[in-house]
Amino acid sequence: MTIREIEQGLKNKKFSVLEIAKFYLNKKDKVNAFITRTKELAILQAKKKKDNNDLLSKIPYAVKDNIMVKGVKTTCASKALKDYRALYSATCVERINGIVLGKTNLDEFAMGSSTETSFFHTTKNPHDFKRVPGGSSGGSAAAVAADLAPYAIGSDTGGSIRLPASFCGVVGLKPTYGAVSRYGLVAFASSLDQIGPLTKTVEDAEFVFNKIAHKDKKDLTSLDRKFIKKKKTFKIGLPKEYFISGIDPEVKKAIEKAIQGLKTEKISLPNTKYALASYYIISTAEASANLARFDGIRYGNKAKAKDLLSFYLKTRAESFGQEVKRRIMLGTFSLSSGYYDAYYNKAQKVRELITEDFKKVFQKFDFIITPTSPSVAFKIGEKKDPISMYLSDIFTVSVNLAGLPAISIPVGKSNNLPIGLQIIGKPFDEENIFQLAKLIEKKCQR
Amino acid sequence: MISKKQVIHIANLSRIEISDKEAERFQKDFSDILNYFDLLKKAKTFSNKKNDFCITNFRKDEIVKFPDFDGKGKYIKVQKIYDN
Repeated sequence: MTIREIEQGLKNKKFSVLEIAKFYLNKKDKVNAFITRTKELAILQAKKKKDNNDLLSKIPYAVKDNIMVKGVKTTCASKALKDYRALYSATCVERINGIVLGKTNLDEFAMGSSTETSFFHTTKNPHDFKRVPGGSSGGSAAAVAADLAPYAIGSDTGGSIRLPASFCGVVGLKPTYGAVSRYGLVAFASSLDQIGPLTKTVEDAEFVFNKIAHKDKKDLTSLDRKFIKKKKTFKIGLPKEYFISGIDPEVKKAIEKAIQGLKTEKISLPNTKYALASYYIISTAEASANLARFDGIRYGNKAKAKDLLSFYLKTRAESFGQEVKRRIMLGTFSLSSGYYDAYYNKAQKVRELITEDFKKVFQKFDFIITPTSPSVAFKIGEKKDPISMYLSDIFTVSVNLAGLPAISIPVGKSNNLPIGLQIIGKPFDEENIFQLAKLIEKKCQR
Repeated sequence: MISKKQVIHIANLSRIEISDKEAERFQKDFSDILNYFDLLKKAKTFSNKKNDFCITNFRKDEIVKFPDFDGKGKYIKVQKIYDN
């Protein structure tokens, strides 16, 4: 059910808040979307007296397991935190003040595009159990697609909301950098991370975004919400770098069909080819610093060792999976003496170029439309080497580097597998993104 | 190309113990990935200006009491790490 449908059901007394919560809690998780289900907490929250005007307080939802809910395990899908219980709730969880159905699976510390790097299990794509749901917010996307939750919260560092939304056929919004407080999100790459909703409709994404977009003094990068005037007509750019021959022809066809009748023009974002390399250097560098805290001293998994240095070495060797180790080490490498200029510094300068590309286009255009991913969901175990996995993010990382808002909406299917369309907007122009997204959504339903 | 010795050095800096076999696997992975990163050499960069993500709106430091303080005086209690 959508948030809107539940609202109607509650209004017409078809069911109560507690009944709808129980309905979702009793559903069987056939896709392994959850790491933890929080039945007791959800029932407690559902029984609390509700303010009639506060819609989301009555709606059940799922939370990605790198976002803290007080008293509930927050594992980040890592052995490092497998028994860690959150001491406080994330700001977005407090603002929603809803009914938490459980914590959803992800790639370990949100590092991956398939949930295969999770310490616990791989989530299955609800449209084909042999395929991945995308990542890293794969559990959140699968939970929404399989209707194990009306909506879910995820995080997006390089496409981690939009890619799984695309693979599972749901709506996923990555808000403008600074629009939503990250307080209570376990940091991966602080200059890129953003929290956002995964929903069944664009309208639902708007509901949730309106609730969580807020300046928070606990996250210094969060800003007051700005509103750009609502537009009546839209000028849309189609960057040629995203419609290359390597993309799945069915994906291309579905995108072209979805934008038929809209005013579009071919454009160029010339530095797109450098985005992925720049992203992986910057994000791993930041991750190497952010994950230094998982040393076993204050919390988390601890190894047995004779002295302090071997305690660190062994604890971290035991705690992290291969992909996380790989990224911490890559980040350490590009920040190390002798390599800093060639890698980290260069990547930062390239980030500037990519941001400038977008700024130039947005002087003339309101939106940029691209496929969310070059392909539909791939098979579990299909991508074995790291680079082929990293390439899944090729159409999503630029948005994070430039701090822009973007949404992925389902626009069709290829062999029963969903295809996602990405709309990229100007900073803080989520309102107009929703407008255009609703227009395309409506067209695709017909 | 990155040497196995370099990989072990980086693992040490990262405070992650790796086996000989792992070092060999990471050596291959990193060589492939760094090879891909070399694409950036072709990018014509010039600017040295700070990117848009620098925080300028710092708030004042204020002392907030830790709600469930477990320790003595200024010190927080942690688990014993090693014996003298």
